[in-house]
Amino acid sequence: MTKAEIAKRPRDFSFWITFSPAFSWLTFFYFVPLVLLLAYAFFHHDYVRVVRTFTLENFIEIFSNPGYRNTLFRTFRIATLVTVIDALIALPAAYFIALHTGRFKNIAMILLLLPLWSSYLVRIFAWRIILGYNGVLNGFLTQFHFLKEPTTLFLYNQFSMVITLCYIWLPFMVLPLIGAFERLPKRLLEASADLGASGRITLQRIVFPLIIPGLLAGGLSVFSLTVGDYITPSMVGGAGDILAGNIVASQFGVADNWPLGAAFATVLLIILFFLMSFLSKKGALENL
Amino acid sequence: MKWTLGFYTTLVYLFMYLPIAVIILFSFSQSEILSLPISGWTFDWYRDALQDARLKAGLENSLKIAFIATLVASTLGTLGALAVQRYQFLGRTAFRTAIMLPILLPGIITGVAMLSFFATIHLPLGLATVMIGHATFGFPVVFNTVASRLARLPKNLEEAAADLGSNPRQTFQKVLFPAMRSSIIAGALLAFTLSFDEIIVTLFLTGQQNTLPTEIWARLRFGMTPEINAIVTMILILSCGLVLLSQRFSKE
Amino acid sequence: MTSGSISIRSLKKSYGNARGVENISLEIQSGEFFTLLGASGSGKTTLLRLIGGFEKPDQGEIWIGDQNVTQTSAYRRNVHTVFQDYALFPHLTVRDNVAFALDIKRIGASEQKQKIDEALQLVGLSGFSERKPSQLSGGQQQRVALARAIVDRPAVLLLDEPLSALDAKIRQELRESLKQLQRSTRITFLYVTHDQEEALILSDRLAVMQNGFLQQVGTPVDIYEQPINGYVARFIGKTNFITGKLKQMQNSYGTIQIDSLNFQGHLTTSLNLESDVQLMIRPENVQITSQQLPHSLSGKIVQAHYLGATTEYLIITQLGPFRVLEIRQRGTPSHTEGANVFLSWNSENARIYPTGNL
Repeated sequence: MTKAEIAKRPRDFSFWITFSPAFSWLTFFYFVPLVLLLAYAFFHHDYVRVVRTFTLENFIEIFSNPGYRNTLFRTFRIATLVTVIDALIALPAAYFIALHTGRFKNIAMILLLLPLWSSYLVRIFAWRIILGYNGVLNGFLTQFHFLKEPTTLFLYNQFSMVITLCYIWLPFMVLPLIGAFERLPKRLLEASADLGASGRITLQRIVFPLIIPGLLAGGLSVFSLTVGDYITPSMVGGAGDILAGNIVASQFGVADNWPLGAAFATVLLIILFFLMSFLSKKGALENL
Repeated sequence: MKWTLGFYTTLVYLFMYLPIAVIILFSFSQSEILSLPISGWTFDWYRDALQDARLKAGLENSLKIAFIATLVASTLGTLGALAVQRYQFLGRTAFRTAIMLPILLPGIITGVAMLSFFATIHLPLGLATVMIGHATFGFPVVFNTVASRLARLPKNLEEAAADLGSNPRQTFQKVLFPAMRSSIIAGALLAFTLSFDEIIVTLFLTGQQNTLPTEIWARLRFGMTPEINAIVTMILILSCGLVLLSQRFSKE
Repeated sequence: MTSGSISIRSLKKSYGNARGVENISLEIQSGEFFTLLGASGSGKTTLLRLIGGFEKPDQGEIWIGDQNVTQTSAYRRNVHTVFQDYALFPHLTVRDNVAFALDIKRIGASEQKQKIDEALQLVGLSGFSERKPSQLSGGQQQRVALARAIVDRPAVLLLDEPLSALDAKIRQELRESLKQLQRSTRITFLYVTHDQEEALILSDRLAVMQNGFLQQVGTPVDIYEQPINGYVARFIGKTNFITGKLKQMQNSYGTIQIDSLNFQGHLTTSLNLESDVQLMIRPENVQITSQQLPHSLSGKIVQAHYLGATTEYLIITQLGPFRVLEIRQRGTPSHTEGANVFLSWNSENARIYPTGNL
């Protein structure tokens, strides 16, 4: 008899007690709303109200209007860029924190989590203080004569948006990577060195393949969080740098065209679902 | 190699703390405009923040929502983790993935989907709808921590308890629950913080009353004042205490 | 203390494709050290779990002492289990782990203390009572699991491969402790293992299981000396087999023929003449001689492993490879690699089985 068969228990009363509340909440407050959102995407909007007739006009609008199309492309370009930069920042740091901090590891972990506990909004705003015309960066550069006078180049453009997004979502990349490095069997690294592999080869052939699920898990989080963010672009982005989230938010807000907003959200959903089903095959979902 | 990595990691930490240092620094700045140079220092913003009725109301609402949402999320997450880890059933893997969706998919999707839902069933927006939204993404957070603890527990822990004479109720009270407790607390603390700071979902689901983040958001449109820095600094100090507390629990 | 005898009557349990148990009947005496020995998938763990109450049988009955416990839940049975992975409660100290069963029975503090101290002393862990399981070595964890299971003196103790996760040295130490513990407590031990050496050393009696069936039940001596079939013979100890046709039967002896050679052996079961049979002979019962004797087999020594008190030979004969174990009082091995020798044995030590039963 295998272990799996031991764990297999009859679905008795106690199973339903544990299963039903979770299942009902999820169905009622998440999946029914998701289905409704999908339904809205196919409704017609006539200036003041939603008409519940089936139409594809919202999707046609999204793909034919160059503004919307470009926003979609920009969103995925920026999300990819942010994910890649975060991965590059996080990989060496996560490796060091997981394997070389010794007894200071606990402190290192706490310090990593702490920023998450201070206001997300205010941390984004802090970048405005740092990058602005009278900001910390300009102050520093003029003080030390790198610049003659402050510049407005740092803020309200894609540069400031990418920096802030990288900053805000960095912990979501570092944490799964630390987990992945911790799960690396130490003996494996020793075995590789023992077989004569240099540090670099060990890293390439042994370490990297084994942490890929953690990397993909972190990447999925960062990508998905960036795609859905409408706060950061509106606070530190330029006027033309809005992301898909801003369009969804404004269609459900000031523009008040829910069907179009729902269609936009549906497009994001479909793309993310494809990404997730691809990544789940690589074990990303078990490493969150 | 090790030293280079250590230096690099220190830089990463500096990057992470730079904005926070800026926030704290400017909470003591005399000027109302958040820019250099700083002309003088003051504690006035702390006094103002503590006397600000709207900030206080927002804080109160945020705490209320976070508390109830965490309670609901912890119950759902713990039960869900037990169902997935302790029983074999059709669609178990799918159920597991489904639970994780609210934190896998962007918050804005959850926000607009729930908004559509509440509009359809004619539930007026308010603190209750925000609470439901927060509980929905807190649920996978607690689920994740508890499920990974359950997966690490010895397979036949409950059998061992039954074997030593404890009935199913005693087994849950004396063995299973104590063994899960620290992970439930750790997950709940995480869910609490996420809820306390949440804005992306909240903006869609909130009614007339503001939470602390939506109150700050409303003010940021007119530019920030050091008063907000002051309240954020105070919250940060309180959170430090909470983090240390949660660390003690998760160490068990 | 209630009687710790176990009576298993026509027990059956199946799991779709996995190995269950098939119509098993077995009587185990109170105070006996009884072992279920078998390869993985033989159904031994299933049988143990049925007795522990973790599974319910499809058919049959289980009696412990004078009680029919077939439908009794695990927590109402006066039976404790030592699990293969110990299943210690990770949030409780060693003392609280051991106290668990006493707590459930609401035994008073002073009596608890005395029983816990006694149990910890029995397993040699007196100084460790305030540690958490995660702070103990594998062997120590195993001892805690033992103390926890004997502290309230159950009628029967079930042990599911308790030593399999430990390394060889600790395994041997614990093996001794187990035997002593059983002798001093007189609790019925039902022990499951796939390690035949462990089974022979520890057991008063043992049962060899295969594919859900009991193949043979008996004392270690019975089973080693008189294995009931080829499977048991191969499973316990080392053996040599010669396959051939049964040519003659006389009293309880038969003669088999292969390549015009004839060998005699004990008949273990009724067989038809001319049927395919195998003759089993243990390595220590084979003599090596330089001269040819009647009914002897010629061969060449290809390996001679000197092990001190014994020497193990591998000899290639005309009927295939043969293992021979030579026990010598002193001096160098009597034969060397490469030598041409003759093998013979006393036909009383050879046994004949049908070939179908491998």
